[in-house]
Amino acid sequence: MLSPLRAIVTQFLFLLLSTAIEGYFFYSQLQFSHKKSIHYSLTLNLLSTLIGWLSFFYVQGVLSRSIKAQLLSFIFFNRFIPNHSALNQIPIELILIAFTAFFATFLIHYQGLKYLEYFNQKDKTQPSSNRKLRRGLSRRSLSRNVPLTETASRSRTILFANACSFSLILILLSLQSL
Amino acid sequence: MDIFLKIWKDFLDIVTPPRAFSWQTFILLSVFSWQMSYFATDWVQNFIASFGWIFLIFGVAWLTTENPIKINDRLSLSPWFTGALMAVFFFRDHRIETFHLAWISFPIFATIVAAIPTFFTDDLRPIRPKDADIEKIVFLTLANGIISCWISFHFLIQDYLLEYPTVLQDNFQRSAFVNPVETNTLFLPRGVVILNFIESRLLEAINQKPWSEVERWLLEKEQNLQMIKQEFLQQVAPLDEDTWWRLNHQTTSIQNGYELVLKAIWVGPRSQDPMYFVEKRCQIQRRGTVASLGNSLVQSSDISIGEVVCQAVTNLAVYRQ
Repeated sequence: MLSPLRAIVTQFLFLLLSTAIEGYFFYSQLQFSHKKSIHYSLTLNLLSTLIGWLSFFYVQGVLSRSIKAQLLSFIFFNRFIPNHSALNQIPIELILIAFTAFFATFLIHYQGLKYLEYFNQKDKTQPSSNRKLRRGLSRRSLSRNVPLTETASRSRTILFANACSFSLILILLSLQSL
Repeated sequence: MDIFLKIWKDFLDIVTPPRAFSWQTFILLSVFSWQMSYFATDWVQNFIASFGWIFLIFGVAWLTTENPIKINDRLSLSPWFTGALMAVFFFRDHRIETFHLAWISFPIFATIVAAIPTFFTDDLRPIRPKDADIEKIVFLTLANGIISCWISFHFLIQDYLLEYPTVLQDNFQRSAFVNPVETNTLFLPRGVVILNFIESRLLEAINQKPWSEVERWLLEKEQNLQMIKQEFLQQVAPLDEDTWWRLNHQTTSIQNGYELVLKAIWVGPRSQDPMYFVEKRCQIQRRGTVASLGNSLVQSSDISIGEVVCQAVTNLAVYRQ
């Protein structure tokens, strides 16, 4: 029998790492408080991890048999099936997947941060207006709350933070597979 | 004897409800329902037993909310007990899929149990949860969702192994995802199953058959083996890994006959570059039947028969061409 314990431990460590990195960026670039930066970054990282898992479960179910065998090979042996068709170098698909993952994470964090901020502000200004809160969730009012320059610096911060944590994780992964 | 009396008395103290509306009442009700369900039959039994479960869930929820078990005075473990009971209750038939579902949904149930109290005041009026509580619920939902995913991933890997039993024979040193927890050889590499199947068909076709028939079979062994493989794929429930096995055969002359070497080569997922193989050797020898006939007038070569002896399949080993 095999247990996915390595995956769980690795993911736990990576979650800690990316939470710390992104929290640091929130703290230093966006001038959030200590507690708020860590709380936001933890929530956003948990969210993107969860969405990542769900998409993985979906995708592995629709893969063709030979691609699935490659996936298995990667999960079990950290490599693709040797001497098999065109897929024996780092396949273009893997690079595409990494790109998609990166930008999906960026979008989730960007959008998620907007919502987190929105709820936080609403709660402070109008603690009991439940209906207004729900109505106000349209895209327009979301972006109206934040001035344009702030949104730009925000997206830049998130992009930098994600780039940092992704690169670090990539380095750690390649060190581990040496 | 005294000590038993004392334990019994303590037990009664705990179990006796202090008020009519308390967790002890629920537990007693559930025990009562289970008792009653023994006397009932069919759907009535199920119905009463379900009530037993529901009473138990409420009882345990109440008990663990009143006396929470906490780590560091912050993280409460109580919802996990009730969540586990709910998972067992909802998926209590004994099929393997529902067993998996019960495990996967267990953290989600625990989250729901933990979230429900924040939507009510102490006197059970519904309210909008406090901000701190919303933060807590969001965190719990995400974290427990990920734990659910981990559990599903565990079951997914076991499902993969059912389709690819051969990889279990390999080593997982380099894997970033999995580690072996016990080394059982419950699953045979598929190549072994294929070769054993071929052996049985080979014995049927040429064992104790006239030598001329044997030679004809061996002449057409290419097609014959193909046919056996087709038959195998039709008769035995196919696995995903079947397409990753290549068959290879060789005949050499030995004294009084031939040796047929059958190899099944694994070209699928593996930890090293060279392929793996399993092998079965079969000796096909010509035997005269003079002794059995007991008639020296008949030339033994004319009615000699083939005798097939096969060795057991070798262990999975690295294939060198």
